[in-house]
Amino acid sequence: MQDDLVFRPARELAALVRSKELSPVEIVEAFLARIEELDPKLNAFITVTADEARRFARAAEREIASGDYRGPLHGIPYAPKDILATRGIRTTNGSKVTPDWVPGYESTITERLRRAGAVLLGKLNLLEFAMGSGVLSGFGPSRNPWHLDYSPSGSSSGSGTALAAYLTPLSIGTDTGGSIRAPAAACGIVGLKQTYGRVSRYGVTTLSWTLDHAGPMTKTVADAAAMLQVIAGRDPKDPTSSSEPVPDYEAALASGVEGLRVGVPSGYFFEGAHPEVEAAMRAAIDLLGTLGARIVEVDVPHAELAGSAGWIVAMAEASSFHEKRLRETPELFDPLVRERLETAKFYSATDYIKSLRVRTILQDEMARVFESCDVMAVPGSTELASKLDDELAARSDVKPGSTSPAFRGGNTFLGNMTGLPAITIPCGFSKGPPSLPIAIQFYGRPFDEATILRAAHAYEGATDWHRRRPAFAA
Amino acid sequence: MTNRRELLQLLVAGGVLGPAAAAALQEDAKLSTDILERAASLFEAEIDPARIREILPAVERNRDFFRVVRELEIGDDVEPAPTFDAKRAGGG
Repeated sequence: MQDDLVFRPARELAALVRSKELSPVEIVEAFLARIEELDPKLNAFITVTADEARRFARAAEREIASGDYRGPLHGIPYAPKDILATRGIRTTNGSKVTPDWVPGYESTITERLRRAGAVLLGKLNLLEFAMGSGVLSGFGPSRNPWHLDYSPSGSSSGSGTALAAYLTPLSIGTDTGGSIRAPAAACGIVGLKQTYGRVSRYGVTTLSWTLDHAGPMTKTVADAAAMLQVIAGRDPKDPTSSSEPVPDYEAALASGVEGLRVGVPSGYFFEGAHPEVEAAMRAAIDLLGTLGARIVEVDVPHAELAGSAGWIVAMAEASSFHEKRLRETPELFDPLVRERLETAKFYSATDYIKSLRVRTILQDEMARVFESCDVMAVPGSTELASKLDDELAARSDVKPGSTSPAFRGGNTFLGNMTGLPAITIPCGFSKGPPSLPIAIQFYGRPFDEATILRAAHAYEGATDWHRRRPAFAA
Repeated sequence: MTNRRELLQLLVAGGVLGPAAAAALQEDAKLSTDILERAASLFEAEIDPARIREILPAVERNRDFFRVVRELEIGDDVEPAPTFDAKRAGGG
């Protein structure tokens, strides 16, 4: 069992822990050994909390042995993006601006995971302050296990890398314009950005107050459901968190997609898509139809605005949040972060307010979409993972030799601008070489994570993309 | 959706407007460090001249990238959504 232990989804490990066939100590030791072996080449972890993990695992073992089983995360390891505050444990934000920050408080998410018995393995690398280059961020780039010259995307880069390489079974990422879902797509894992307010942002370093989300990144949809179950719900420390009741997400998984209306938009969401992405998406939609879903055409007329308007909102808020740090220590920032914060000073108040009016338009259009379907399916990303930038290219959004705007974020930014839940899961691989993951993304109604989990779980159950392992990590 | 700039581009491409309009379109696309320095001064943004030179291409890139928002015509009845609104988004 030891040999393949790290390859098992968290829910399988949990069943073995509950039945006392497996100890949390064995699980933690297996993952720590794997981190030690593989992470020097991947750079997924900024901090490994081995001693604490062992201590916590031993405590979990004792509790479970004495009949105090807390639930499916008890004794199961996880590692969050290093932008979630952990009391007494260094929280770097992936930045040389805050490399030694040791918070005196705990984020609500990590606090809830701790109470559920999950074992902290360490803190994961990221693009600086969730918006850097990766390459020049404070702790260097994480590498994509599917090919080490390739980017795991970001900003939850370490989370994508660590999951794809089986260095942790569970992670938490953050998502302001796609930073959970983009690495999920690039690394062939599951990324869930739930409804705005569904999960507390307390203790998560801000990029944009109105667009930030923190949510599960996992190997399977059922694992994402189990994590969401624990971290969801009202938090008095976050006034934007919602008191909407938290349903039983696991129960929703069993329903299948028979009769479910899957909306597929034309136009923007597929524009410029890599041919293999387009083909994999069409095959995935066909398969959903075969499984009993009803495929319907939908339209989001202003979807193309989500990326531009979202970027204005995100960077205007980020520039305000980092104002003091940027004034005092500009040279410590990743050059790309510095450029983004400085250029945001030239956005006008009118730009910002107009972008908020675009948000209204997008919310209205998505409300209309969900009058005719239950979930909307779009490519997780229109592109395959890209090679890691060289240092010159990583310094700026203006790439050498490029004459056109590089950023096209609408497929994911739509979720942040509208606040709607979205989940990204693997739906194929390119032929390669290198063979790289392709992903499908399901959007849902506000607070209806249960239905997107249901659709994603049904698709996952009919395919084996999530079981593939990168050669590097096999 | 066609904005003012796209309309001008179409009219220039179709020969309806002449070289002067084409030149104006070209000129419209250029920023300079002088312009940025003045804008920074107007906003009281603390960015030194050397940085202004470095970020000029990125500001220009942003201007192109955001044009789709800036030139969008929005109806008077569309109010800003400062944050997520479950009711508006089709919930609750």
